[in-house]
Amino acid sequence: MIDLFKDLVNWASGPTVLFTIATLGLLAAFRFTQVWSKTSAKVFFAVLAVFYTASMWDPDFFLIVAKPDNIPITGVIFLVFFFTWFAMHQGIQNDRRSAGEGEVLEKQESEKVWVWPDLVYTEMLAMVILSIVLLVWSILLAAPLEQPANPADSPNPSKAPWYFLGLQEMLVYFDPWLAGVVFPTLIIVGLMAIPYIDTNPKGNGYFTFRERKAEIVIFLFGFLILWCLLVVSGTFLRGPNWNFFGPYEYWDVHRVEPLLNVNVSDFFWVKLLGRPLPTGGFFAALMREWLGILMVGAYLFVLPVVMSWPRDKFPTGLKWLSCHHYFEKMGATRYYLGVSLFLMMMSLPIKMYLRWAFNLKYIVAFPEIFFNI
Amino acid sequence: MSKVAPGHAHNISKLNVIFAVSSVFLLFSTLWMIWFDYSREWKGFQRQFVQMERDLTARQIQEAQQGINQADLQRVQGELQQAQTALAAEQAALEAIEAEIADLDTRRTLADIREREIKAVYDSDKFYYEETRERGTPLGRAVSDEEFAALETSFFTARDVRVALDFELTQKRAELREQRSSVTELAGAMEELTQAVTLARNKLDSLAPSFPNTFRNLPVVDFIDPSIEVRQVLVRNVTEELNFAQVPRIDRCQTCHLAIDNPDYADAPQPFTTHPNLDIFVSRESSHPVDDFGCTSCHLGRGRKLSFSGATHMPESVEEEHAWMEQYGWKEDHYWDNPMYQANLTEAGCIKCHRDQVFIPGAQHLNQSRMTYELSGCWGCHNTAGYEDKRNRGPSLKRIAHKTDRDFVARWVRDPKAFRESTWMPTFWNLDNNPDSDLQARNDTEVAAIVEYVFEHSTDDADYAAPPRGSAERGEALVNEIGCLGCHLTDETGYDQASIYRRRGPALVGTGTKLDAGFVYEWVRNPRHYWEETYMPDLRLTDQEAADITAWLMGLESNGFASMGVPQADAGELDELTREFLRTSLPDAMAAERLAGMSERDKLLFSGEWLIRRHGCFGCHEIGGFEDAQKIGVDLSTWGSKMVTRLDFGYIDIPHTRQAWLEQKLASPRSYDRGKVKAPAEKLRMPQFGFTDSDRQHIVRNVLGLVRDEFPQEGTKTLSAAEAVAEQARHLIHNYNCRGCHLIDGVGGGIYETIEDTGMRPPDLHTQGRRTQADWLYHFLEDPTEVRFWLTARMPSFNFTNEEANTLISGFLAMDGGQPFDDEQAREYDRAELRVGAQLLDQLQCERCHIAAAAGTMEASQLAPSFRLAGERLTHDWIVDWMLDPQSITPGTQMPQFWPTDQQGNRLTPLPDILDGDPMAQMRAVASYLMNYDR
Repeated sequence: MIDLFKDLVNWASGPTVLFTIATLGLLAAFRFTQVWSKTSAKVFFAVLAVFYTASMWDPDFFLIVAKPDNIPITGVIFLVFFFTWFAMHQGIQNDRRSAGEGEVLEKQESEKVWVWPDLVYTEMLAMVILSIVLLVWSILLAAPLEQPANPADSPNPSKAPWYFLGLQEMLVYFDPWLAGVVFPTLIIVGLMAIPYIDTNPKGNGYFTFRERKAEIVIFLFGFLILWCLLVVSGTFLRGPNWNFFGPYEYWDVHRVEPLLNVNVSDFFWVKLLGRPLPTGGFFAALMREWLGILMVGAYLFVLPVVMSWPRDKFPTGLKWLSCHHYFEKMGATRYYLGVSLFLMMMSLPIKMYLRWAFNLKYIVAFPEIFFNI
Repeated sequence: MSKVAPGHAHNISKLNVIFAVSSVFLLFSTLWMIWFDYSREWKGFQRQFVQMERDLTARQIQEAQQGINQADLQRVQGELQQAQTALAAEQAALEAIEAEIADLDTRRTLADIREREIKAVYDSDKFYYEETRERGTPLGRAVSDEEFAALETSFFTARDVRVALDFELTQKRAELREQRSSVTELAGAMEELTQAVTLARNKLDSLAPSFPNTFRNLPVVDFIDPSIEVRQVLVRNVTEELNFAQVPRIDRCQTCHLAIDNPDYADAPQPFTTHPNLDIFVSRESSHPVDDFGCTSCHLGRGRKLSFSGATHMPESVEEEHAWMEQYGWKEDHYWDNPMYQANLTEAGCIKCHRDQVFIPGAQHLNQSRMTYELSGCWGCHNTAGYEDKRNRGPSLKRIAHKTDRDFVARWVRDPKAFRESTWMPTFWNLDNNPDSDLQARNDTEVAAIVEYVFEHSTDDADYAAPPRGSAERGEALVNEIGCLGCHLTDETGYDQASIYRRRGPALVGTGTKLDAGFVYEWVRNPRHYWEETYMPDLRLTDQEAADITAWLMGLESNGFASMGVPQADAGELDELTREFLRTSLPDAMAAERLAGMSERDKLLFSGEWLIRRHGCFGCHEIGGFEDAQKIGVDLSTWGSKMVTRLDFGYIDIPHTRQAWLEQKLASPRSYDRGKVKAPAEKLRMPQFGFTDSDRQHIVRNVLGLVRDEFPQEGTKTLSAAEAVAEQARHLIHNYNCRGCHLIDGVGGGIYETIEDTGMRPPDLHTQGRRTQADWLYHFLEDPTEVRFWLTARMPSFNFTNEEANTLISGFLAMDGGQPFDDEQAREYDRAELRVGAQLLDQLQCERCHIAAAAGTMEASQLAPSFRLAGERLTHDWIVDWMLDPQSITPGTQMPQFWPTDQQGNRLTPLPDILDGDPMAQMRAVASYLMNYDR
């Protein structure tokens, strides 16, 4: 029974299943907003805590989770869930109130209070308590000093600091110049651009969900799924050789995973046409990659334009693609900026699914100049 | 919410409570942090050591007090009192002088101040005066001749006054000293008598608990000047590699190993025990002082770490591991690439600097480890720096057909240990990855193919004639007497406990089953006729002796082995094997076609060649067709630095350390294949050597020592000119196994364990370089003549080349500081002295033992070489040295010390009437006479 459960969890923790379940679960939670109630939060936390505690009896789970280095990630799991729930819970309550007679909760608290003692005192208390936590934590979980770095013998797995593990996970799907340079830059620039793209004044000073649905869904998908989930799975589920290991599996260095990834050019030339890849010189390389280049170009430059068309231009079944109302509301500049950033963000899950479904390595591959997408 | 006052967001009194409680927690956690940082494992050791030092010092005070000669002390005390009384009578006069001195001293001080005041002005004016005179344009101000002359006068006057006072003061003080001299001297004598006690007392005082001692070690203030502190050495010469850079070592071991250089703590418990070998290590006078070499240079481990586990101490046994866990909470620290050698393997650390030396004096275990490594032939398959130029480990197989027959070779190759337990030849079949239970037919076929190939490539000219008849009984006696046992065992029980030098040659068991009688007869008479490179020497056997020995050797049968089945090729398996090898370069169809065209013999020869290449037989044996083959194993030259992560532990559950991996590899070489799916070509190939535990440990010690470390020239051992010459000789001594019979550098004498009577043992070659004349030794090596007629063991004829003989002689000279050209033959002797020598020889009855032929009932240990040889053999100086102290040259000799020394070190003579009783002159006279004994 327990073994069956462990097998199930191990299976469900695999990148494909976990990513899909998490994405669907998140979308479902936005659709069925009743789940953000206090009761379901209690149940959810209780289940999570029981799962965590009970799993400690499994030596492989314990080995990874109890590592001093990994303790913060457990904190991250609980804290991220708590704050997400809190914001959504408040937002939905407010939505309900403003839909009826009442006003948002924050309005009731809008009396003025004193800087001293109300603000400064609590800040000082926070400082004192945080100091205690840090001191006790650092004494009890002393991080070990390891051997001097040896370039000839890097540790396996070689892991980035926990907060960069999302980026490291991206390296599985993208080349370093994309996953390590372009995407991080776009994440920072994109976050900075949000106030200029999203000019919706609603939700200032109070929690709401209904009034900012698209913004919240897009942001939480990016933050929870594409960042936090990757950090957590990068810490707990990625073992030697960056292979995937279920939470109840031993990290065996010798485990071998088949790696048979192919490029779009291989699909087109070898599998479809049954010919070897064109070789010799620059133009041959362009010939070889023409389909991939076309696909990327279409995704980045044609799709935003198409998406700005009104609904009636789309055939039935594809009408959901239309973002015409955003185009009208935001104006061309904001619209194109926003959609480009959004598409960039979505390129990660798209590439992930392409990899899982077709073993796709690169859409565009120029190994000659280390340029691969 | 009700208690929240209007205008506030929180209940302030509740916040006050939270604040109070959290402040207390913060205080405690801060104190906890300070304590956590302060309470270190090593501080406890240092406190404990202070207590031990106090106990020791208290004992030393007692000992010192007992050591004082009480009679002396009382006498000096009495005299001192008398002198003091006498001095007291002149108290008034003394006080007057003291007053005068005080007055003079004051005046001198004032005069000195005055002089320096004037000198300051004078020095400054001198500069301006020079400027005025030379440049004419004064810088600042002009000084005229007159002004300068006046100043000069006043300065010299002031100096004069001070000098006069100085002089007077010196005189007065001398006077006072003179008056008091007797008391001062006696007080000095007193002090000298009690000096040891005073020193120890002072030390005890400094160690006693006191406020300053406690305060300086308190938490927080202990950053200023604590007495409990980290003790470290910075080692610049023997560096560590860190990110491609060589950085100095920092060894903090002495923080806990506080008495490592203090001989008083030899019996103290760890970590306070003294280093067991201060003559060679740690102490300032030794060849490896701790300040230059540190600790981790030899022991490895993490020198900077101050915790027991963190320093990577490694337990020697499971019991020790458990004891450590209990005592120190030991656990393996895998955060260090080079953990400490466990104590019994420490000598592995010598290799990194002494790699080129064939023999490291003092490294008793390591020398044996390297012998074991060499004899095992590890380097035949594994390239190892320093072993490149060695002759093949095993005998050449190019003439095997003369020596034995196919059936024997097939059985032997299949399972050598079944024939001879102590053999160094390893087993290749019926191991973890080719067990007979699955692969018997294949294994037999492989053997048959290899034997076929080897015999095909052996010369096959006329066989040996049958040897003359001999007596096995006499043969056995000869083998036991003439020195064969220096290199061979005749009984294999407990073979790993026998001297390693006796394991050089094969054990003499089952030889009748193995060898051809004609071959044996020719071989013992002259081994080199069969194999030019053999180290086996010629023992100058007569034909009859050779026949006797042959008779005995041929009588040693191994019946069990002879009745073992001979591995035969299985036709199906042979096809399979041949196809496997053909397919490495041919497609299936072509391989099948080629196979069909091959005869049985073709297949055997073809597979045999492939199999020899795969198993690496040519690593140890010369085999036709494999003259240029490459070694098949991993290079071991730097294996001791190999990362543990680079080792495949397979499905074997052992600690992940180099040592554990190596031990497992040696115990069961192919066990890492267990549970793996492998094609025949991928399987591990190392054969099973069947090492005993002690042999295995020796190999482990040697291989762990083969590290990559590179460090500056200053850190490595460079041989001096003399050492380099000695080194060359030691290579020969090693190759020809001289230590099988002789003690050299105090090591060897393998044959001694077979000769109970110490007098019958071949000689100890201590001081050989000074003992004999180079000329004589050269001729002796070329054609050994009898020196000790009673010995049955023969010095063999090694047929040294001229170069080898010279190397050996120069080497002995270099080891013992002798001279290559001496004037022994040209020395002129005084007739009178010779007469005295003869008289002494007579009176000391030297010739009762030093005789030329057996006489009476003398035991061998009492016999000594005849003096007839002395003139051409010995050196005059050595004879004197020998008489001075025979025991220091040959421990256990029966030669009496006729001129012993008394307690004060004065040499005594038994014959005070001769040569005025001068012992040295007497010894020189004896030596001179002996040098002319036969003239």
